[in-house]
Amino acid sequence: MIPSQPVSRVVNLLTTAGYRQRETPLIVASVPFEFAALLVGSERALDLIVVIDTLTEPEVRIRQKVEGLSRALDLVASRRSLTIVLVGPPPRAVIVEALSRVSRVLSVGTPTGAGADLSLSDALAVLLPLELADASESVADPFGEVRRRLKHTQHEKDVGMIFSAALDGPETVKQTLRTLLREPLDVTPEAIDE
Amino acid sequence: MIPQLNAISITDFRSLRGNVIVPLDAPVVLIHGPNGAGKTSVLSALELVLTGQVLEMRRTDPGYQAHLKNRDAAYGKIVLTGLGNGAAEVQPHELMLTDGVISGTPALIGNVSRFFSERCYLAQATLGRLLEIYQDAKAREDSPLTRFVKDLLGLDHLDALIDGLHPVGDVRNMRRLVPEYTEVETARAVVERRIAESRSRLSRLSDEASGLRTSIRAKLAMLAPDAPLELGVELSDSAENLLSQDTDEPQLVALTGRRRDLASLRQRSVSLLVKESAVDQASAEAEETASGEALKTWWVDVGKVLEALIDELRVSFPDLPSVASTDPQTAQYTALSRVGSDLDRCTRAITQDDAVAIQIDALDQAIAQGRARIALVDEQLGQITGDTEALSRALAALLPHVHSEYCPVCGRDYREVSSEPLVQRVSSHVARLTEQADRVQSLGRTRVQTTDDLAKSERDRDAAASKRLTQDARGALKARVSELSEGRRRLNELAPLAATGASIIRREVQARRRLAELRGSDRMSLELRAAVGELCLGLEQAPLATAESIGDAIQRLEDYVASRERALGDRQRLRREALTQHRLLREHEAEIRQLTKMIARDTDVQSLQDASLQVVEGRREAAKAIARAAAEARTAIVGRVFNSALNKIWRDLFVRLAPTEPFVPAFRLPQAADEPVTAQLETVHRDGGRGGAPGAMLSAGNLNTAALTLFIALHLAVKPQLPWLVLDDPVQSMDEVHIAQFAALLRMLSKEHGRKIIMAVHERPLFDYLALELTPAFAGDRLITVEITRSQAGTSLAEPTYRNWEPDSAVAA
Repeated sequence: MIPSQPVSRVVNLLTTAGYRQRETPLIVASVPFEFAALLVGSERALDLIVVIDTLTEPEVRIRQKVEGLSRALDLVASRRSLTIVLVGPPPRAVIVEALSRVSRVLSVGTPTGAGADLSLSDALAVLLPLELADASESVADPFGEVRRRLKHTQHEKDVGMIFSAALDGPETVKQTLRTLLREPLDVTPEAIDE
Repeated sequence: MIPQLNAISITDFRSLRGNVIVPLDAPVVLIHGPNGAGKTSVLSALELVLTGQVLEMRRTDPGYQAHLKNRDAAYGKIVLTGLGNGAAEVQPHELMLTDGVISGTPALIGNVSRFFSERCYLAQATLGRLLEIYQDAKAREDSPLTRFVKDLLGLDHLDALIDGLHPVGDVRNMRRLVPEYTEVETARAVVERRIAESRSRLSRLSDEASGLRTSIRAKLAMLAPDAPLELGVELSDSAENLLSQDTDEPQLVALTGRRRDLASLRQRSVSLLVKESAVDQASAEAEETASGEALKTWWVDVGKVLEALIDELRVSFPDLPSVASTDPQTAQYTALSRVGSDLDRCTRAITQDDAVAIQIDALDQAIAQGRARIALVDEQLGQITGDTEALSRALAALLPHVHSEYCPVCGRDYREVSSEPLVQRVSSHVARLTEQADRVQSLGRTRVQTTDDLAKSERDRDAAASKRLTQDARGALKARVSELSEGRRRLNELAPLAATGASIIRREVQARRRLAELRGSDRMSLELRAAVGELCLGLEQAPLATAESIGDAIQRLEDYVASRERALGDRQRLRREALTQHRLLREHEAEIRQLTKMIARDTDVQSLQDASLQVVEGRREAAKAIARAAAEARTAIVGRVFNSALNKIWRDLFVRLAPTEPFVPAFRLPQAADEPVTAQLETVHRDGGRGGAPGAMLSAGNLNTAALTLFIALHLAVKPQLPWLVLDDPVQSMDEVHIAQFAALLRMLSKEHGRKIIMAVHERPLFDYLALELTPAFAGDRLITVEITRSQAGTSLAEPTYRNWEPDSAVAA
């Protein structure tokens, strides 16, 4: 079976996310199961992902195949979790419900247009890796950010003083600022007379 | 070091009765049990032994400690093993629970303890209210969510920078912060103003000095044209010496003397000038002769007649002046007035005597009448006899005694005399007598008065009679009147002639006097001319020409003296002015030197002030740059953290669990750069555009999902101090689709992101499904499932099952 265009997109997305495609038919307990595409998870995930194009197969057939596969997996005491990705028009609710009893069902429809990629990845989100921001101590490095923006300054020492004052709160910053601004003013006119 | 958890042993805690041991040493621990079996108790025991409190219980009941031990037991006990870093053996942590008292120390302290309570452990009751709890605060700035976001952003330090540096943004705030700045600014302004004032004064003084120099030079040139001074810009002391010597004064003194001489000459010449004419003298001589002739003529014609008359009158009036001794008019007038007054006197005496005669006649008449009247009164009095008054009183006293017609005096019957009743008769008699008495009185008074009048008239007549003139005297008076009248007539006739005489005499006297004066003036004129001639010589003026009058000469000399005095006075004034100006110039020059020095000093001061103000300005600019950078950094951090760290991960999580929900919850970004950062939640549509608050936009199930994913997102957004997720039945209200997705998410967190997951689930199929999803997927991976049940006797039982990895036979990896 030659994968249709939407099926290819699903397969591409999932393989990019680390899943590996398998040849069909899948033979479980000596029973061959034919699907549009078939993928398994990486080393750390026992996923079995079946991609079905609802355009090319009647609903009843889909249900029979999925329920059959589920029973076969039980039979061999497989611990793989089964995920059905439905490409094309979603089947009737009763069918989806039946599928949901034995597997995780992800209906992606037929994503088209500009938002297709996002829509597809949203639909398959649960299968995609979770990208976490660099969760360092604090997500932000406030002083680093400020310093990058200051580029070159002739007041390196003052900047350092003000930064360390900021750790103690605004009042300390204000006092430091006051000290910095006050210090040059100590030259009073009276000093000249002497 | 990440602490490890090995196992927890729980004895008589909350709904757990007896002792249960729950192993925890696996990446995933699933706890199952029917409702009321004690799943939640296991998780809250874990929270208690780790943090020393059960946060969710504390939220609802501050006195919850009293209910921690199982109500049937004397005490409760929790023992946690593990918690080292896995390498070293660590003493187990043990908490003892008696009534309301927890003894023992919790395993975690400080931030880590807080992290567990807030970021790792999601109690069952908390989930439903999570959004509410997170955003609960009086001010949005204080909500736990805001606090979290702020910690996450590290904004406190940036805000400290921005707030602390705020004063540099506005110079007024800076002045408030650094009052010394204002002081220096003010001082600088003072110095600047002083410099400007000094400069302006200096320029004015220089202009004035240059004007003074020009003026002094001009004056010196006028005063001493023969001794020009070589003066540079500075005028020397020699100028002042030159100006101080007044050479004109002696000349002026001499001139003043001449002027006085001239004045006295002029005064003397004035009287002379009037009678100077020779013609006048001739006419005066003629006049004198004429008037002398006229006087002689008058004397012969009139004077003698008048003199004779006055001599005649002098018999009666011996003191009359003669015509010769006085002027004829006076003599005539004196005589006339004397004659007139005596004539008046005589005439008056005669008239008076006539009046007295008439008065005497009148008085005689009055006397005669008075005598006749007295005789008349006496006659009437004579007709009234007796003492009528006494008789009437006696009869009136008798009247009460008259009771009948019989007279009480004589006893006779009055009826014999008259038919009139006696009483009436007596009464009328009394009345008549009283009337007569009144008349007597009245007549008496009349007589006295008339007698008095008569006596007065008689006295008056005697007095008048004594005033009458004798016939001789009257005759003499009349004769004198006639005589005097004649004298007066003649005097009156002579009156105009006497007046003419007086005028002739006056004219003659005048003519004579004038002639004498004219003769004296010739002599004086000669003397004056000599004196004037001398003055001409003294003043070096042209001598007195013969044709020139004395007056003209004096005038000429006076004019000369005045012009000389004016010239000398002008020189003196000029000298004085020049001297004053010279002194002023000296003062100006001194002040100019002082001002120049002062300006130099002030300029030094100002440049010092400028320098320090410039340093301050530089630092202020630097501080401003920091504040600006901090504000920019803040905006950048806020945007980045909200978008990438929070909203991205939350969206990712939420979309995984609710792939069909078009609205996705999100943190609302602060709109303005300096807006205080608050964590406000909103929803955004997947296709773009903002929706309302999550509570308004999401179904109850998805709202729950939003809360759950928010909890996990917050957990993932920070560095995991504890990489644990302890969830108490978070899937109760999820439908199957959500559960399947959630299971995949948990697997991802466990297998890919190393989070240890401890979760309680009460629904059996769900528990089995999760056990399947979270089954060990690789070597070393492990899953522990624990069944919590109760025995018949009510003792809690915990039945753990360990599942290790087995290669999957169905599908080759």
